[in-house]
Amino acid sequence: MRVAGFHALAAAAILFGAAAPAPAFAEGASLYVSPKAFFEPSADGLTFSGVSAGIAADGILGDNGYAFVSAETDVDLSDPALPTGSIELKEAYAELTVGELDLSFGRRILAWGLADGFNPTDNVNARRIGTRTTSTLDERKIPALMLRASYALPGSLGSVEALVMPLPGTNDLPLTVSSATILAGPATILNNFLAEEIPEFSWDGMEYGARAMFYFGGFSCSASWLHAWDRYPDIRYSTTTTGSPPGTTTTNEYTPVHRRVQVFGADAQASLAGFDLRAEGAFFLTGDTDGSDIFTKNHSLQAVAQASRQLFSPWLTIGLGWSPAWVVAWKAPADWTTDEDRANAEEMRKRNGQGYAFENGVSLSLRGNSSDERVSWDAMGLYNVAARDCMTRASVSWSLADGINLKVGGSLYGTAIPDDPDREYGVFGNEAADAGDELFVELRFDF
Amino acid sequence: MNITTKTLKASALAAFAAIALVAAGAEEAQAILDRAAASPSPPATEGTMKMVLVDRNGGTRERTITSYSVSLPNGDTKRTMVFEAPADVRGTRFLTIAYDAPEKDDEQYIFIPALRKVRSIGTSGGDSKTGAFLGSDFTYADLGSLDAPEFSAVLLGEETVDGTRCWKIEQKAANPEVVKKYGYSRVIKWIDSSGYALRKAEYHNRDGKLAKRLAVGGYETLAGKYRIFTSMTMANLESGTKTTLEFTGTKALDSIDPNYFTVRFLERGR
Repeated sequence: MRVAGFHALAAAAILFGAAAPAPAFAEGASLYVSPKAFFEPSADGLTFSGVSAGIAADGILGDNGYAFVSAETDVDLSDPALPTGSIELKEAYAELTVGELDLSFGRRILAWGLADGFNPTDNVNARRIGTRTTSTLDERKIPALMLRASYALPGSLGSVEALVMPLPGTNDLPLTVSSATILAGPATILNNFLAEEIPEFSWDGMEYGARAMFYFGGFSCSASWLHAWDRYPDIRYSTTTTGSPPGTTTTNEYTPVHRRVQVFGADAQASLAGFDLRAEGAFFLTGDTDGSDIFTKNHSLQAVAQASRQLFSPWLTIGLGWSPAWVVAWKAPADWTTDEDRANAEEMRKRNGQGYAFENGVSLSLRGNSSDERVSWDAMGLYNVAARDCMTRASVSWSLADGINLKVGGSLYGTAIPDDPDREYGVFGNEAADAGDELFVELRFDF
Repeated sequence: MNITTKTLKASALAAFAAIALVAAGAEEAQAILDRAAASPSPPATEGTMKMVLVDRNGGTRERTITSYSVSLPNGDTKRTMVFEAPADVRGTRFLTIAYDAPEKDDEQYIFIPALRKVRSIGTSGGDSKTGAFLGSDFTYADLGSLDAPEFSAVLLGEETVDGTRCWKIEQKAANPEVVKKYGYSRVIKWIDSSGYALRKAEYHNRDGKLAKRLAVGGYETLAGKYRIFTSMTMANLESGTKTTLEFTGTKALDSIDPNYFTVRFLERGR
């Protein structure tokens, strides 16, 4: 078993240290156990993925304090001969309330953004991408150690929050170390993709964020700012040439590294004539101010606009969405001046999610539930117009009894045209995205 | 010719009398409904609601909800519900702000723990009234009132319900839009003639067919002056299911912490 990292334990020590002086009593406790199986449709048969379980408890500390702690274990049994697993202190934080101000410290997961499903402003927590199978996208979030202050505006007008995250947060991605040798006549080219460099703690590497959220009856909106490490890596590139022409050996090294970004977000939700309207957008300000650096992502804007309406209550709510993305100062690989730059730009285009200057995504979502809410269903299809790749997620949940739920679903990634090379520039189905088709069966017991 | 004139006169007289009677009945019926609606209610309450859902095979599911409510001097009401059980919905919190002014849409917010955020729910248009209340046989319309001019009331007579003398009142939807909005073409209510309390109701669907039957029971007096009911059962005659709401430990309060009715409370649960 692998035990979670130092900062998780440090947070727990601080949390429980802070809690010690005041007599605490349990406010509530919950426990869940969830055996699940994930399998790839193309594989020979069902691969039992494993079991996850979680426990959570919260308590009141004195007159104005509150504490929450949760832990989760995930046991991977896909190889029965070699079970692996982890025990993770998931969230653990203490909160002090002073009037309308809530001050908290500890590991937390936050959710920013008012859109459904795709939230470009929701970047406070890094995610596990391709390293843990989960039945919902939200379960991929990695808790972040943070100091957070939230001020509640009068009544239900909303809140203003600010946070500081001392430790760098980067997505947990599969190891992609590889090496390729290309023979170009008498010359040899070695392309080495090295292990990702994870940023370490430093005072000037801390992350900051702020958000203001407002509710005006049928209309709500928020604005946010986050100054953090890019959750996805850029590339640091180096090249060396040894030997004498024509028999030279060129070694190109590509190291995934994280750089700082600022994310400015805004979103809104309104109810109008039976329609639920949601919009969300985020502008990513990167280190590449003019798009001249092949290996650093350009500034970009990602947005989503959604409209949904309940057609047959409660069985069907249908939603349509448009997700435009714009990359500032985008340059096609062919427009770079040297062969080396063109090759690198082509490679980056497939890897950094910036395959096109403009990309339009369209989505269709269907969801609903039975009248007694025992059975609920949810399906969403997303199609990227330029890359011609798509993603479909669907699930059905069945409440077998109080506290016992069965969920069956899956994700499919595809392309409109078989072997379409443009699919490699999309964000769903390309080879670098680690997104594979999967189906799952999950049983969850809540106590 | 003479006979015809007499007949016409008699018919006109009868029609006038009938209209006058109906008008009087309507006036009386609306007065009864208004009196029932004006029954004194506590400024604020806190209590527990147990929801028992019975499927067509007799299988039951229970949900326990802590409920807080406040009635403001301007007629607006606020209610917050906190799901305590079962475990898979524990922590779900729901806030409704109902405005007295008919032109102002009600506000509804829900916090779902798995999403970690508050969502506002549209209450204008669509199926906001006909949607099932928390998966039960009650719709949001069933828990609100059917007011004039959307519904016209007529006193049909008097009947006895469980030994209590009641007025039998029919509320009819004014037009097809109202039928669509509430899901009912007409509703028949039995109102206790001594205490002006609802005892029973029958709901007829868009086609005029009897679809649901409500039984209200367990009346008791709270704080010596407020008459409240402790259970209500809605039987869905079309699906064969029924839902009982049982109210226990209801406390009448002179005031309540306004923080219960904020988005902040939904987010934090405290």
